[in-house]
Amino acid sequence: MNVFRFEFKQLFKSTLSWSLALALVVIIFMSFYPVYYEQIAIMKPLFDNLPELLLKSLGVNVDTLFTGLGFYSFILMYVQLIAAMQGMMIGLGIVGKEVRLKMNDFILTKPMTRSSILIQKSLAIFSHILITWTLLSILSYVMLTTVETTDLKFNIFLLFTFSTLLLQVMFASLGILTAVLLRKLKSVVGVSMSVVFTLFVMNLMQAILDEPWLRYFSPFQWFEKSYIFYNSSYEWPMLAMCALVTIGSCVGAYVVYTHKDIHAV
Amino acid sequence: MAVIETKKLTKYYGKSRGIIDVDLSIEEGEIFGFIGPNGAGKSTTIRLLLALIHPTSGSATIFGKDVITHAKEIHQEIGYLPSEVFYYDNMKVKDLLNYSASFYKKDCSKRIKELAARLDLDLNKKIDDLSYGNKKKVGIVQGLLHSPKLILLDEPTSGLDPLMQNIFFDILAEENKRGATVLFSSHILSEVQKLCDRVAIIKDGKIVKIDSVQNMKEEAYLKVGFETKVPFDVSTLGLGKLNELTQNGLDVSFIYKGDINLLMKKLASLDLIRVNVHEAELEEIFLHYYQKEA
Repeated sequence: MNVFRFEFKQLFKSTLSWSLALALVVIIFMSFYPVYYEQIAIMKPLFDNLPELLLKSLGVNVDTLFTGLGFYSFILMYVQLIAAMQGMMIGLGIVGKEVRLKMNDFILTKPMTRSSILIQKSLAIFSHILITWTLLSILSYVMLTTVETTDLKFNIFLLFTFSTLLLQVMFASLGILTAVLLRKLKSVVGVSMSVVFTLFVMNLMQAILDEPWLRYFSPFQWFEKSYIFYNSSYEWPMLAMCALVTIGSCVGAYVVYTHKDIHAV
Repeated sequence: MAVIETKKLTKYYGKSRGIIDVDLSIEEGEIFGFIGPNGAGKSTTIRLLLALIHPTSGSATIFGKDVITHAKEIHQEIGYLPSEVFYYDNMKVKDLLNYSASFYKKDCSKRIKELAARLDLDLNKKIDDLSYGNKKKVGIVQGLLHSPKLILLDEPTSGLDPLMQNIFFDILAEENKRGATVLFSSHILSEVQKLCDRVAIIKDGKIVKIDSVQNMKEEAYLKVGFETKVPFDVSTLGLGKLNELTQNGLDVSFIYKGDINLLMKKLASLDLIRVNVHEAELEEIFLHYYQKEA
């Protein structure tokens, strides 16, 4: 398990930064909530007058916005964007490390099977995602119970926060797959940003075009907040899509990595 | 027992040629040189042996085991030094070496210290701060720290100063004495001549000759050069086909292989100003292999 230990140790700094970024978003936004709730009489008509398209693309649902959880579901969109970015970046960064640094010759001539290397690296990635997500969930819960004036629906909160984990894992798998497909990798940030933001913009596309099938290709809409809010459950087809992409990416990465030719650099 | 054995080993990169039908058999304890210009297929062969790439056809075994299916076991006993070395950023030399050592089932700390001292390498420095030559030294220690039974070197001397090259060759010779087999690829013939027992010459992906360094030199390839008083036609000499024949006015030079007495008789019949006959360097023999079919 030396590769796991090596990568796990190296990831702590990155996890600390990502956790801090997520914590800041949650703390700052959630501390606005009490002020904003007090102004409900002024704020609500304001939102009612905004065009629906804008609200939809911002992830705002006016009906639920004035509850703690509803407000949390609004900021969740940005939390999930950051979390997805983390997933993609560490997936790509850890598995693509030897590609970026031209070190495949180093690690692949060691007495370890390729599958073992990939599995140990993936374990390090998913462990750090789990650490970040756990911290995020605890903090979110604490903030919510602090500001929520009515009873907090715990099961809905769980569905919300768990959807963040599912997205993180999905994006990490996508990062891993991307890493094994690339022959050269100059910038982890560059590649991650383009993938994550392209998929984030699908949100907007879907809002404008209003084609239901587009949602399948828009990960940030797989876990529709208002659906979860009213139905206390995920939409099964979307959950299946998430599972399909995640498992597909992992299996694909495994097959490619264990069979590919490593060319001289 | 053959440590490395390849049978009709072939690799194509798509349609472009890597190597074709390479048959090699390298015995335990040998220092084997692998010679050819850039692009001839040296690295391809070594990368196939290391299972970094997969053969298109043919097979290769190391220690009697298939290089692809038994890669993990084989790598336990292999040390590899690529021509260019790269490392993780922001790491100290000793951390990198310890990480490298952590893959092997033995304690390598003593050997790391020995080798570092030998090569004058500071283990506490950051790798990013090292010069290219020093990074190369990290590569040497990294490749040898587990006292491997087989050492694969792909043009290993680039970036090493002559003094370090000598130390490096001494270390290789010692490893060889300890029992390690060495496969050494290079396009610099003098280093192969210095170190190796046998050499294989590769050209356009095919092995053109395998022989001992001694034999190659003993096969009496002679570099002949002379100057005559009056112009004459070299083909009238009657020495058969001459390799690398150059005639520049009255100056003539060629590489000769054959009966030395005949050569002397023929030369004696000429009106000479100057003559120079010496044993051809491997370099010159080698050029001859390359030009033969050209």
